[in-house]
Parts: sequence; structure tokens; C-alpha cells
Amino acid sequence: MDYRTRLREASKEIIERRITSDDELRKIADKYNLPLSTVKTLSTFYFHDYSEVQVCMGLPCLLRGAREVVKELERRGIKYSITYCLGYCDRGGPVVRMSDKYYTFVNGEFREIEESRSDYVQSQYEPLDKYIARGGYKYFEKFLSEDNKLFILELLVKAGLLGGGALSRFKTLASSANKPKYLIVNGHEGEPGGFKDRLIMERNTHQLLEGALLLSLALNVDEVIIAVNERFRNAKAMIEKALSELRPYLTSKGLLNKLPPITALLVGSPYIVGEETALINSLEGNRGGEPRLRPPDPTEAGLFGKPTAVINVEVVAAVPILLSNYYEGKEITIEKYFCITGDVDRPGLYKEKLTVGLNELLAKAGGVKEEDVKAVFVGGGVSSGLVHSSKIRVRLTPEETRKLGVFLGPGVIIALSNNRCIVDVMLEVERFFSHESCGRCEPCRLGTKELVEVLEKVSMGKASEEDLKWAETVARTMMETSLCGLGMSAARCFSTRLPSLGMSLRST
Amino acid sequence: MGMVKVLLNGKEVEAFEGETILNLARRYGIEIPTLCYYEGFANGSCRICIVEVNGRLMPSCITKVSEGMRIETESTRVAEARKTLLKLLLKNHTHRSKEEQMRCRICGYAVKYGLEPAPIIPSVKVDDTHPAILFNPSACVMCRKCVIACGVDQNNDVIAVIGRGGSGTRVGFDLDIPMGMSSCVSCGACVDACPTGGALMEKDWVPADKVIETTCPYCGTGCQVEYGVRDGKVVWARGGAYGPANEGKLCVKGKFGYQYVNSPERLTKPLIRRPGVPKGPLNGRSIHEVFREATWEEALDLVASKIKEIISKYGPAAIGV
Ligand code: SF4
Ligand code: SF4
Ligand code: SF4
Ligand code: FES
Repeated sequence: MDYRTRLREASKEIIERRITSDDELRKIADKYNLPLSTVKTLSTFYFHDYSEVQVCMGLPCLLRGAREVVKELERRGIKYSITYCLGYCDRGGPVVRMSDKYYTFVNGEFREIEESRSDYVQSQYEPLDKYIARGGYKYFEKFLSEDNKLFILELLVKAGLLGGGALSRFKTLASSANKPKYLIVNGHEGEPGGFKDRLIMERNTHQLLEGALLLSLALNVDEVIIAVNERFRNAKAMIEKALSELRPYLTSKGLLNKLPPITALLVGSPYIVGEETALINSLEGNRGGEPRLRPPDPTEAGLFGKPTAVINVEVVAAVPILLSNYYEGKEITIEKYFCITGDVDRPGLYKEKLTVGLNELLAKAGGVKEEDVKAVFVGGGVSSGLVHSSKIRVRLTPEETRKLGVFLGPGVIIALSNNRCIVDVMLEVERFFSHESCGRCEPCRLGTKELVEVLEKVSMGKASEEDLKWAETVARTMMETSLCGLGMSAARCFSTRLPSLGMSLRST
Repeated sequence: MGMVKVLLNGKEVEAFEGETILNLARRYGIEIPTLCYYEGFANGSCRICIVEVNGRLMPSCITKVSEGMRIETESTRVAEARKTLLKLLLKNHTHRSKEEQMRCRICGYAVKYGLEPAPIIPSVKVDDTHPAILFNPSACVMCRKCVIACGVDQNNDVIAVIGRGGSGTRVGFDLDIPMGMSSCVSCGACVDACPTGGALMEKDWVPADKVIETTCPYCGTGCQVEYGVRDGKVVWARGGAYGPANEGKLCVKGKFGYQYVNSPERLTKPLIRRPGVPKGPLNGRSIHEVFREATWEEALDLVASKIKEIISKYGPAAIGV
């Protein structure tokens, strides 16, 4: 095995077996003939907050009392570590993982989350015959015979799932002669409050696979990799199950060797790994999955330096539906998934047209009355826009939300009612960014730490005017000089959100 | 190589296609501060070298020039952001002494930008397990140059970035063990790379009053080396001189083995064996019982006469070099 392959295999094994002990790492270094420092850096990047018991401190869990969980564990003398987003944000209470099981903490007790159990996930799986019965693969061969397959990308743009910039980059990739080319389906979903992609992978597995195959034909790629967050082991099992059903089916239709191979791989769970260049680094086995310098864009030089399209699970899974709409002469639209959490009665997954009003969406989840809403995190959850209650009637179309600085993609909606203190929320959000900073570039590594300190002071009523001015300068510098979007979001959350809410740290 | 035209601080200049803005600026004598920049590698982590490019701040050490770029190296925005980045670094590292602080590039820039240098705290916890190198994590600013030096440049792979997060990221050795117990081969590349002057440093470092460039006297590679000299004595060595044989790197002997220069046992004059004293180990005898000092003329004459003697006795084939 050459060095790159050994690195990749070692990284895979570390992630798959969640290796953190030095003894085990030494064995890995021996097995793959790698330096000790290399395996250590990988393990401490992926599992820097790992332990037998992990408590989620993501905003949805915090709003539901994650601090109480911590107190309870301390009362029981159980050691724990804090982490961000274990992925069951809508299950009623804050989420805790204890070895292989997931619990929520409701009414003073830990309840195992049924949805996290593999037998439950199995029972929700849609087998191939059922998928075909509801229209799966209906237009696959017709599409295969199309001369120009790129129109499928235009459908995604029309449906509001793909931007114009991405479209033109993908078109360039499709015609590039630099081979092999890759399609990576991004199933990382590390955003606190997000769980739609995991559910799609678990429940609409065949639809996702068909979408991946259709896109791979349009993009003219040679291999498809579904990158699954290592926390979503059930999802990976379902994808593998679906693949084993799919292969004989495609063979029987004489299609298998006309299509690129699909594999599902686990990638590290840290939030930053969801960033597309970090995801690629993670798949290659480079340190953790820190972001790469751009240019080049992955569509020019991505995985193994080859043209690579990274597309999110929900978008990929939408493709077969949009294709049917197209061939059947229906309107090119799709219902988007929204993950609603926070101060609502019925947190959960909702599917709506991209014309739905934010207030209507919240009404579906029940609970807060419109006038009791203080603000709502929309889209990329804490890393996207915070929408003030005065704008709560905004229609969630791509154009309208862009005006509010909201990136709708991840579909995370976290509602904050009037009795939430916005400074405390901001502090928690900043803590999240600081915890999740990959530590590569200085403005983000030190800037997030700095903003946490200032917000802590604000929250205790001890911040001076000078502190606030300094924090604003730090935030500006972070936005202007961070290497990737994480540092920029961490700053934006501080500097543009409060003013956009008509609030200021000086008045709270 | 193709050329492109760019506007550098308001002046139209010619740039080589594919060169970085930093490179271009240096060629035109414009100084841009750098910290994590490591020649030949794209590091890009400190962002100190930012410049304004068409209205956006970009790290000059990794941004390549392109036709028509408008580059400002000291605009108000640049200065503001650079100062903020420096302040963050100054808040997040300390030195143990004034001398170390004076070696620190960040603290040097601080003075230049009218800021207070990093605080001096002598009693911090350090890793002093290595025989020649001291590691002081409190002085580290996580620029990662040591990681590149050790791993990519010297292929020793001892140093790595450990952990993640705003407060959790640091450097460590092997499986994050003390440096002296690690697989370090003491090449010193990390020490020479470290811009803080104190995070990774020679254990017995003292400031020099002059620096001289020379060739390492050890082996035949011919590495260029810089010696720090104080009171006429060599006090440290670094591979800072850019000789083609070593490109700024050294091995353990060149970096840490310079003390022989000041040794009283060092040969400084030619020696000739005293008559009648047999060859073989000194066995405790003083060197002067076995040899006597001579002048170069005398020593060379002696060698020449012996060679002639051998040639006349055994023929020219008996001589080899
Ligand atoms: S902005 Fe943050 S997450 Fe992104 S590269 Fe820099 S340190 Fe890493
Ligand atoms: S002295 Fe050389 S081998 Fe040792 S840690 Fe530094 S660079 Fe690596
Ligand atoms: S020890 Fe020095 S070279 Fe290494 S990361 Fe820290 S400051 Fe940079
Ligand atoms: S010197 Fe350019 S980013 Fe550090």
C-alpha cells in the first residue's frame, strides 16, 4: 500500500472503531506503518470531546434543559463530556449518549430514544420493491437515453435547491476531461437542530440512491461516495442494505456496468467536517478534515485532486421526484424538509413548499403564539440567520430568505420565545463555534475564544464599553480574514445578528 | 513565464504569473509581515500577511497574483485587521524573559504597530525533558511551522497538531508525550522555524552579539550554517543561511554540536609525532607527550617528504587519495 492509501485506511479504522487510547493508536501506527504523531492527530481531531457518556449542548438541547442533565449526571457521579448535536434534537428532551445508546432526559429520567435503535430503523426502511411501486426508477432508463442530461441540474435550480454559482461549476465539471471524477453525497449533517438528512438516509434510502445515480450520469462522474457522519451508524447500515438490493436489480436490467459504483463511507462527526473541502480531507485521511485553502474549488481539484461535486443528501434525494415532475409535465417544485425545534410544542420534521410563511411553519409545530416569538434561527440553524419576530411572516423562498441573510439549505428552524435571554443564547452559540473551530486559522481559533469571554462578561453584566468595542473589532476581523465559513459564521452571529434584531448588547 | 500587470499600492507593476502577492511585494521592496509563512509550503494559518485585494482582505503568502489585481498592502482596513490579529496573539502567549521576548517576531511586530508586547511570566510550566530543546507551550501561537518543519520538510513526523477547538488546539510530540521521550532526532528544524523565539528553543540559548555565516565543518554535505557569536565564542547555530545543499536545515551535529569549537582539546595547530613514540591509543598519556606543536610549513614539508619517499620506494601506484 502506498502512503496515501495507508493513511486513508488508518483514518477509516480510527473513525470506525472510535479509537482514542494510546495503546490502540500504537497498534494502528504499526499496522499501517505510519508515524505515531499522524494517528494521534487524527484521533484527537475526530474525538476530542469523546467519552463513554456525552451530553449534547446544541442549542435545541440547551433550550430543553441540557444543563439539568449535566447536574443529574454529576449528582449520580457519572463522568461525562459535552459535545454538539447527537442528532435526535426533536425527541422531547435534551439528548445524551451512553455507550451505544441514546437517551433523552424528560421529567427527571433518562428514556432511551426509540428512533435511535437499529431494530426501529430497520422497521422504517423502505425496500426496493416498495420504492419501485411508488414510482421509483420509472424514468431511469428514459433519462439514460437522453443526449443532454444536464437539464436535471436546471431542475434543481428551478426547485430552489441549487444556486446559480454551483450550477455553472457543476457544468464545468461535467465537461472536464480530467478523470476520474467524483460525486460525494454529503450526509454529514452536523448542524445542531438538523436531522432530516439522517432520516432520508434511513427511510428514503432507495430514493437517495436513485438520485445519486441520476446525478452521476448528468455530471459524468466515475464514482459516487456517500459520506455518512460516523454518528449515523444506522443510516450507513441502511444504505448498505439498499445497495445489496439494488445491485441484482440493476444487473437484471443490464444497467450495472453502465453506472458508476456507489460506496458509503463514514466520516468524522465534528461540525467542520460537513464543510465540503473538510469533508474531502476527511475522506482522504488528512488531519481530521480541516478545510482546505481555496482556490481551487473542489469541482476543479477535489478528492485526490480530481474534479469533485459535493451535494447534500436532501438535494440528491429530490432528483428522482423532480425528474418525474418534469417528464409528467408537472410543475417543477418540491416540498422541502424543515427540522423544527426550540420553543414549540411539537418539534419534528416538517415538509413544506418553499413558499410557506415562517409563521405558518411555526404554527404547524404548535406552541408559541406569533406574538410570543422573540426570534427564530432559520436555515443553517445557529450558523445562518436569526430572524426577528417582526419578520416572522417572511415566505421561505430562496429569494426572500437570502435578503435576510439566511441560507435555507439545512432546513433547521429553532424558535426562541420572548422569555429567552438573547445574550445567553448568543453565548451558547459562540461556545459552540469555539468548541467546533478546527483550530487551523488564527482569527477563528482565537476570535471565537475571545467572543465567548466577552459574552460571558455581558451575561454577568460586567462588560465595559471597551469590551464591546473590542469584541466588535474581533468579529469584523474574523469575518474578513477567516479561512472558512465557520469563522465567518461565528463572527456574523455576533456582529450582524443583534443589530439586525434591533437589539444591542449595550441595552440588555 | 507569463507576466501579468497588477496595481501594487497604486503603482502599475509587472508580476510573474503564478507568484504569490507576498513574493511580488518582496521583489518590489515592500515589506509585509509574516508569521506562519514557511517557504515552499502553503500554510496560511496566521493571516497576519493579509493585504487588500480588489476590496477584500486576502492572505498574501498564499494568494496568487492575477491580471488587473488592485493590491493595497497597508490600507486602513489591512492595518486594522492586522492589529486585531496581533492583539489576539499577544493576549494568547507569554514569554519567560525579556531576551526571549526580544527574539519573538510577534512581539517585534507589536512594537511596530504600537502595541504592548506579550507579557513576561517566568514561572510557567515547560517541557524540559529533551537534552537540547526546551518546549514552552505558553509561548506557542499555533502557527504550525514546527509541524511543517518536522513532518513535511525534514520527514521526521514527530510533531503534530493535537486536539481541536478555540482552546483545545496545541502541538504535541508522537502520542502527545514529553519531547525528550519522543522519537525526535534533534535536528532542530522546529526550533529554527518557531517564530516566537521561546516556544521551541535551544535550551542554553543566549543572545549573540554578532552572527556569522559559514559552512558546517562536520561532514562533506557542505551545509550553510549561521553561528551566533558572543564574546568571541559560538553560542548557537542555526540553518538559517540559504545554501543549496541544506536549504536552511541542519542535522543534530550541525545544530547542536558546535561546542567543540570552544573546547580546549580542539586542535588548532598541526601536530608532529615526537621521535620514537610508538603509534596507538593515547592510553591516558597527555597529547603533548606524544606530539609536539609545529608550524604549517614544517608539517607540510614533512608530509611532502614522506610522500616522495613512498613514491621512490614503491612507485606512484602506492599513493591514493
Ligand atoms: S475558520 Fe475556523 S473552522 Fe474554518 S479553517 Fe479557520 S479555524 Fe478552521
Ligand atoms: S528537533 Fe527535528 S526531529 Fe525533533 S521535533 Fe524538532 S524538527 Fe522534529
Ligand atoms: S511551537 Fe512555535 S513553530 Fe510550533 S506552532 Fe508553536 S509557535 Fe509555531
Ligand atoms: S504568513 Fe500568510 S497566513 Fe501566515
